[in-house]
Amino acid sequence: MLNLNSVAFSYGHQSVLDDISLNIETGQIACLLGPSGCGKSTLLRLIAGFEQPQNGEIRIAAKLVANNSHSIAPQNRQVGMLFQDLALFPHLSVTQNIAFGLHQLSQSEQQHRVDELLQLCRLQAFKSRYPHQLSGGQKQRVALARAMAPKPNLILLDEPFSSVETGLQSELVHEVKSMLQADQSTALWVTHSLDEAFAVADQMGVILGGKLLQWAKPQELYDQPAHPDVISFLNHANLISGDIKQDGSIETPLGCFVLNNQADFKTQDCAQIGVQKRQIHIHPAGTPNATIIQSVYQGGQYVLTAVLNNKDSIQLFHPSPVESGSQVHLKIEHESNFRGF
Amino acid sequence: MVAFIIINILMQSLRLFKSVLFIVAAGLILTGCAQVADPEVNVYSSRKEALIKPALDKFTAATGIKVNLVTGKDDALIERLKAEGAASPADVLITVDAGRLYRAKSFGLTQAIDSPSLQNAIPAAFRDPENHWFGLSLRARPIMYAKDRVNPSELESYASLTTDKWLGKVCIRSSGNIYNQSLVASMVASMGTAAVESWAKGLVKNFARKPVGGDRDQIKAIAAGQCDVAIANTYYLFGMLQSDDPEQVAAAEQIGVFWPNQNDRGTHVNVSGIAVTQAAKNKDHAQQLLEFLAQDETQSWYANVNGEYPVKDNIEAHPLLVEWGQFKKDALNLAKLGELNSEAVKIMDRAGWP
Amino acid sequence: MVWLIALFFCLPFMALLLQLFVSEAAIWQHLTTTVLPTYLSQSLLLLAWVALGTLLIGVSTAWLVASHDFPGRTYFQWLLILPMAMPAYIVAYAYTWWLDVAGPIQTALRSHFDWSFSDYYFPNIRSFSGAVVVLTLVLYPYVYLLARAAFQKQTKTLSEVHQLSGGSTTSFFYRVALPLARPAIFGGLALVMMETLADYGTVQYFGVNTLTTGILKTWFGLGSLSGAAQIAMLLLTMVILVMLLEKVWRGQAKYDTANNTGTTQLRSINSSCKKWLASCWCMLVVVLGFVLPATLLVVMAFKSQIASWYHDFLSVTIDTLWLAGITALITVGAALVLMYVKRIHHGTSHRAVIQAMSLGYAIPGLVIAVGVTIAFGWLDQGFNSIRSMFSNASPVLFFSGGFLALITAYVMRFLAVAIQPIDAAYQSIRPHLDEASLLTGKNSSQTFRQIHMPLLKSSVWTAMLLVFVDLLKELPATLVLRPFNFNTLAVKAYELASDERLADAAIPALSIVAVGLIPVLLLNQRINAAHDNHA
Repeated sequence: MLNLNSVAFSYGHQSVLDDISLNIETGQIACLLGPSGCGKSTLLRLIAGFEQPQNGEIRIAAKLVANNSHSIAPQNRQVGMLFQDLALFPHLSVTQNIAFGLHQLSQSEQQHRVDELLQLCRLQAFKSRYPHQLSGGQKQRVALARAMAPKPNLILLDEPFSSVETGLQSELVHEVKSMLQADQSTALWVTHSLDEAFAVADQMGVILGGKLLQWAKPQELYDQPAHPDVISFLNHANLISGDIKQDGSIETPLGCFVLNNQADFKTQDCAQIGVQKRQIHIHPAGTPNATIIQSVYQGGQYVLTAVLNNKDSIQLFHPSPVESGSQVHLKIEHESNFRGF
Repeated sequence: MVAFIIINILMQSLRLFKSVLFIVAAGLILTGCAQVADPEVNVYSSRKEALIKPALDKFTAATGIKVNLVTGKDDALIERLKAEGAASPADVLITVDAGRLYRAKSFGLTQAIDSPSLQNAIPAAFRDPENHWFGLSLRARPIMYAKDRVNPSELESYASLTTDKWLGKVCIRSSGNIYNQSLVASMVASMGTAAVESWAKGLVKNFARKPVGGDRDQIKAIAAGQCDVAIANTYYLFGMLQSDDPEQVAAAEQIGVFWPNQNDRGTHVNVSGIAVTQAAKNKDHAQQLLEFLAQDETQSWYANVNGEYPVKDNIEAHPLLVEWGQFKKDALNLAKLGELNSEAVKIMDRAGWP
Repeated sequence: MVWLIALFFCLPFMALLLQLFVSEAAIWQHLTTTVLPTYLSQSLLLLAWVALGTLLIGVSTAWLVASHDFPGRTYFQWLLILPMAMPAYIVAYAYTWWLDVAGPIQTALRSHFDWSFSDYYFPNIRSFSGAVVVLTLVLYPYVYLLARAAFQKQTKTLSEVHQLSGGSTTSFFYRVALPLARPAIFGGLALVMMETLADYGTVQYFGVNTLTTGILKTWFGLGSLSGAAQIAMLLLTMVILVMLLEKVWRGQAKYDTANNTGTTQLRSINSSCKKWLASCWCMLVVVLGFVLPATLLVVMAFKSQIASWYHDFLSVTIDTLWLAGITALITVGAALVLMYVKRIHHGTSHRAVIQAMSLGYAIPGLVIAVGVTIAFGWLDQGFNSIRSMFSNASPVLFFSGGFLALITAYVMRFLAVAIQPIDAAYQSIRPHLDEASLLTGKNSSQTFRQIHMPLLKSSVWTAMLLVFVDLLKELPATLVLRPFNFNTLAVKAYELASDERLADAAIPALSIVAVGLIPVLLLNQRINAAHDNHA
């Protein structure tokens, strides 16, 4: 439904987005993760048509909507957007807000679609209220209903929950996801929250410094991060460094491992592998290869921080606290192929 | 592309105001059309509406020719004539100062009118030598004084007002006023710049107060005792004496009129006058209007209603004017006032006459 | 299209600018050595004193009314705006009639005590200080209105925080309320200063020689239009300085007042003496600025020869209302278009054009009229020369001489008045609303009609009312540009007053005040309503 090919954009000489390519299938919910200022909101504005790329192509429903010489106006792209500040029209009631984009439909069709959305978003009771009479979550649902109403090809969500209390967020995330799914919408969802992204995404990507580092299924992104910065951003794994041996494997303080991209390295190269925190355990026997420096209780278990012989600092989970300064033997379980960076 | 979109947007947003624009456009067209319908004549006048409209109404009643009037300041009207050029709707220009008529003529805004009846009616001194403009009424600018404090024998000429005797006792309006500019111009014509400048300095030294207000205010200031003498046009005093307001009448009754310079060039006079514009579309009607305003009947209206002096010698002036007496008028060709106007202003500026 | 509109309205400016290239060395030599220093210093002094006076009156009354409880407060809230309906030159007429040497007061004094003129001291109204007083009395409502709105917007919590830290009311005013209201106060002050610089009627009547007098005298007396236009440019430079000054003052003080919850709590004044003092101060301002001059006008009207033009009265009033109404519509329409362009187009060139078009507010109406006259003369000459190629018809005036010229001058003069509230309202509409609307498939004009217009409605009304009041009062441009057989109330009042028939001028003057009162009161209601909504 959405296809970006080498899209680049800059403000003056300041490059904001560089060589972004991605693809979203119809009915998918895709998430773009990234810290604030990484360019992800700009990407949405390019897709919506508020900005024009200097390079590359944007296609929506196979139709070319923008390249460096040509840009279809936002109103002709059939794209819906949920803004960070919601941007509800303060002078219109809930019903009027939702019906705002339905001017192509007949009166009865409009009525029908609005009723459908009021029901889907559980807003029937508030339909004649004005935005300032609604709670945060209700406003959110109105804004989403308004964006979905004309059945756009694509719905863009720009940090939709940044203005909602944390407690409400997870509940709302599922609500929004089920609404989008119930309406069979295709969506591109931009957020900086990992929980949010993993909760909703069929396909996801990490964007950092204007570059899309990886675009994959969530599990793939989690298990096979393609870039050390993805690991740092997800913070679910440790980067452990070591040297490449003659046979192409990597020797780290926690042992020797085979790399699945051996060809990328030469003997004696210094390389890193990403090892998920849950893969590392303290082995009661064995020579100490690490020193515990901190234990913090978190969600039913302890997060331990350890320093390896090569000064790498790593984290792992453990059922009980461990005294600081203890020497332990760490071992990686469920060994598999690692990707070297 | 972007520009095109903007234009499109604006066109559409303008639709809101289209109805309004339509009304205005319709109004413009209608006023445009109105100009060719009935017999009419279009007048630009710097005479105040109240002082000219009654005479114009009489003209319409007598001839059936409609008079369209716009009033304004002389120079603004001349500037408007200039800018409008050949397309100007104005047929006639009326001003309250010969200098402005001179200026209009020198810009080529007026045309000669060959009318024996006008030439017979108006003495040569009060019309343009080439018959571009004609005086309609005379406005004399004598010295006025407080009857109870000043003996008229102490007065002699405009120049005599600079003596120390009148220190702090002279009232006159500001130098921005056309009547003062004309007066000073007439003095420049007879005395030369240097002499007039030292006269102006002397007069400023004798001011009772910083010049404020119009001629009536100077007259009232004499009555109130702020000053003893003032220079003002006679018809203002006339207007006060004729007023419904007893206080104004009481004030005016304390004032005497002294005709200065009777032993030399005479008291300064100016005219209110009329000219047919170069662009006139209704020249015949315009000429009829000129002739009408020069008729005895209209001339005596000037004298009796407004207190000005008629330009024609055979018209009887109002009893009040008769009471102030006959006087010798400065015979200077009035066109000279226009020539020397800016010189006069510069002199007053240099003399510190505010 | 927008460029065409802008070009059309900028033509008169350009006509004036071109006059700068006409060398008037002799005249400038004369002006600089004689009168120009006086004109400049008088203008600057007048500006300084009026600014000081309006600040004092405007801020003090606004502070009292916005945050204190004292007898008559609710009435003073709107009474204090009334002087806005009074054109300065009309207040000048009324006070002059009353206080002049020959006026009823001094005459009564003299006859009662049998004094002669030199026996007593009486302040001279027709003087520099008189002009300062009159201008201050009619212009302070600009400061009052904006300052009051700013004070009322300030939250209750602010004053509670201040009270908890042990501060007094006075220190709250100086340390919190005043600094917070500063941008609004300076906004009002800038308007006051522009009005002062552009004033013509009052200073001329009081014999104060400012730059506007200089423009007139150079044009009429020295017969030099280009010299006059050059002085006008000097005046314009001062205006631009005022605008820059306001930018600087405001720029350093952009406070976030968006999230205002809760209304200001009225402070009760403990001492009854102080309470009445507050009432008396407000009362004094209202009496001097409105009640007294209005009463004087009524007295004068009874002394006049009403019958002499009574039959004209109705038609002149209707003409005035009609013209002001249509022009207000057009002006606000133009302001909307410009502000819309500014919103969708972020180029600096657009901003520059809009800024330039706002300058008109500070240019004396007479100067604008000159510019319009010259520029439209060009247009007509061009139009006629093209027409003459196709037909032999005699040349006609298409642009000049009609309402088009007059309305153009009005729009140039008062566009800034309409722009201000609309610009402010536009800035409070978040850009995301436009984007949200576009994304639902509405085009820009639908967005304008369905989103902008409803949200701007109240400000558009405010702009209309403001422009309408100003139009009722406008004199010099009307005088020069009006078409045949057309008069407004202001022209009538002026003609009679300048013919030294002050009493007769009272009736049209009163009518201006009466008609002007309606929009002024509506305006006040709107501001109050807006405040209630926010609260």
